Amino acid sequence: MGNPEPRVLILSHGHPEEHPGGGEIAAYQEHCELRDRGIDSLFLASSLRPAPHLDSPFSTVGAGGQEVLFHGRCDDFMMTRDDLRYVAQDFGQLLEAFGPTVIHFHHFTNLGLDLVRAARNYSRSVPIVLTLHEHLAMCHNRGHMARTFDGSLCSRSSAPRCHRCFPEIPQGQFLLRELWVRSAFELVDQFITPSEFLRQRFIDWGLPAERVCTIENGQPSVRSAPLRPLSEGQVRGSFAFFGQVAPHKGIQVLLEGFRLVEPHLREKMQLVIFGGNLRFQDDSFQEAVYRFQQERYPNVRWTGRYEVEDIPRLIEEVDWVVVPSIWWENSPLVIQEAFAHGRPVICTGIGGMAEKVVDGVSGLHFRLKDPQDLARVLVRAAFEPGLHETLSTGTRPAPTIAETCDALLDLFEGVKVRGRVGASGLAIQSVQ
Amino acid sequence: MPSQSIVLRTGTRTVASCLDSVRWLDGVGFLITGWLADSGGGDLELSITTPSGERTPFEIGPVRYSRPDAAEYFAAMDWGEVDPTDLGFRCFVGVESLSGSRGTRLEIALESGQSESIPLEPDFDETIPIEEEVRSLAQSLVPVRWDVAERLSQLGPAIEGLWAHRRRPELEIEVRQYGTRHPRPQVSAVIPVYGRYDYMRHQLALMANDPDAVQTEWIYVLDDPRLADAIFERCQHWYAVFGVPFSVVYSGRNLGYAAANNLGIGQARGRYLLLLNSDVFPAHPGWISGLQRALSSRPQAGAVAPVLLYADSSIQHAGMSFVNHEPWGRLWINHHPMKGLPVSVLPEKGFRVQALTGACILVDRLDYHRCGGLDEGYIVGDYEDSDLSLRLHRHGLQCFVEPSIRLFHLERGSHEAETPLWRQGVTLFNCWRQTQSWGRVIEDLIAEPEWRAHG
Repeated sequence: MGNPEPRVLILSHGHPEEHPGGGEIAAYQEHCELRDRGIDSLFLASSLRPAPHLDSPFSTVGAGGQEVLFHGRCDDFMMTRDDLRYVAQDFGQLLEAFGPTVIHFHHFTNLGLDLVRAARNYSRSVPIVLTLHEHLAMCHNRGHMARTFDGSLCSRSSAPRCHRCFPEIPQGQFLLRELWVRSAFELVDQFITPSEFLRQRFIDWGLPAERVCTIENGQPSVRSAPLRPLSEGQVRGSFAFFGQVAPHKGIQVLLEGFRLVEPHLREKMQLVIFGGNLRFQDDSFQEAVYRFQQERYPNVRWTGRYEVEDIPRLIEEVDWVVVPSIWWENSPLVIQEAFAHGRPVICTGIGGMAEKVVDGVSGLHFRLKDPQDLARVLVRAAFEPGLHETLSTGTRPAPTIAETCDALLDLFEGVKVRGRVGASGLAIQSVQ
Repeated sequence: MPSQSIVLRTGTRTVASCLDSVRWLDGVGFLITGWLADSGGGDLELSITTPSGERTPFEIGPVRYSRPDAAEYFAAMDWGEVDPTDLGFRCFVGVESLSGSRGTRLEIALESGQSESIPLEPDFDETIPIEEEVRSLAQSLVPVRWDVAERLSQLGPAIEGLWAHRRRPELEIEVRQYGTRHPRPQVSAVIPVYGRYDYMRHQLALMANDPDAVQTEWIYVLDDPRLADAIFERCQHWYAVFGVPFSVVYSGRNLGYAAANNLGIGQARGRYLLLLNSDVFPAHPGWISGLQRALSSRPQAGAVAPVLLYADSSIQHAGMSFVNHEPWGRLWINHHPMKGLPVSVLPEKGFRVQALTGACILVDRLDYHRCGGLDEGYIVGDYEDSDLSLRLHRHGLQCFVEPSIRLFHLERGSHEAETPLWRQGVTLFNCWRQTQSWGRVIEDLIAEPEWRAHG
């Protein structure tokens, strides 16, 4: 101890009120927890809405609150603001006025990496911490690390490879993007990833291992929903999908896998799709999903959008949660939610899913994009005696928000500020 | 029939010529555009005679155009039928004269002895910018034909003369400084900006992480008036965020590569000049001091350059060599050896090369001025760099590549539309000019035993 309480500036790529994504929620929860503990925290979230006040990029959320919106557009590709006036001038003034002793970025899209530079200009001794919520720093395809032309997984980005995914963007632009990201990352003292998988990815990309640590996003503690009672002859064969109905979420693999289960077994099973946002997907995907829906598979039920608060109620009728994503995933919220209720998870055996769900301990893996293999796993899950009970006891609830906050505060206290940058060089490895 | 015309008739033969425009290039010669039709039957001789009596015979040469209007006129006058295909011409007649063009006459003589002459009066519309005329002449060199050498020998001197005569108005130069000017910089970096301004901010962002940057004087030469508003609107904030002091030099016009560099060099005070393109980006810090060490540690070195890489990390530049290009009439062209290959093919230590690209080159400022610097006689950004290497060579200074230093060069960004035809012609001209100026020197240079060692 001995250190005075920190003053934390939390920057988020959005306010959860405007866009309730995982990263935004994690950033906001951190802010609220710090405030609850009496620690001074300012929440600065970017907003793509135009600034309401003339000649200022800022607006305040709630009277007397500690939540500020930073308005204005940011280039999605380069992750930079074209007009740096507000960064140089107004953001600089905010830093001086609030005087943070720790600056914690959640993400950098919408905010612009220019803010990292401005934060370093503010002080050479105040630590800059950045939480990487996904692969966006190295992948323009929404950070999915999946090829645009065939959806296959990608494990390494480079200007020529990225150009193949986006032929309309010249290689040189991808190079500039990478150099720009690296030049800003050079200024960050400590990176956080919500999964070990993502951490390893960034180490492979060139971040020094000692500068990246994994802290899992915290979850509000919930009362565990009871398991549904089984009547005579019933099996633990109730499966559910929670989340967006989007191509990368692997919904087609799931439906196909369920269809492949032999009918006499399937009649003892059911699948519920809790999910929305279908209308945001492209036409061909929507059509494919509607086709599935019209075929009216026995024992498949579609429900619409749900709110996070509804999960404890919805999950009551569910034995297993299925996460069939066809991309890596980083630290899926849905796994944490399933585990909070002791529901084992059946997931694709790659990336962040494979890390969070231990095969045979807290769930079961199946092969990427393989409905046949999924069908096999679904049958096993439903009919293998005692398996559900074993795996259910193997689920480990996510850390609470308080635990995550403890870990962050410990980290803030121990961050080694790098001071002068340059010599180490986060250079592109191929030219070192 | 327009005033500047000649008609010669003998028996059934009629020769008629009309001059559409005559341009006098002071002390160099005449550029004549017009048509000449001959109903046939025997030789004719064209010549120019100066008032002092100096007579220069000339031929119309290979640059011809179709002139159906002239053929129609010829037929309407009842002089006969002529094929319009090659009637139009544009030719250059070199005449060295101290007394100007006044009193010079153009004469056509037939083998019968009959002749006719008219005063050669420059009537060129001076409001047409020379640049436009140069472009149109250059364009007549493409597509490259088998007789390109002959075309170049005709038009090369004309383009060169025209270019040398382009109007260069007194420039009003604006210099704006962002951040404090370095009192005693070691290196002055001079960077012409053309086409894209976002490159400038990326360069500044990357320099901001490099301790060398603050020891360097950064001089951006804004060579593209279209970008002026956008750049000046942003500079103050770029400096505020990236913290690298720089100046912007602006003349209000597009001067071209060599002249823009020379404008910036006029402001430079460093011991060394770093000529840098705006689309070159460092791959690691410390490269400026690295180049400086590479240059100062070799007394025989006049210039050093890094290895430049494409976005895919393959070699874009590791020095240039001169190659004789037969299809272009044995002109010396600049070749980039090892282009597209991985850097692993390069030697570990610095090595001598025949020439260096101007995209990124470090040279002692005194040497630069001593050898004459970038020659503005080349047209818009081509061959000035190899010319500079040859100038250094003439002063006994050699060129080196430092392979441990690597930068990216986004050569030919997407913003550039397809290369226009005249641009290809300009390349041919520049190449011809390099060969005219340095052919002998290049032959001696490439004969040095040194190059065999590198294979």
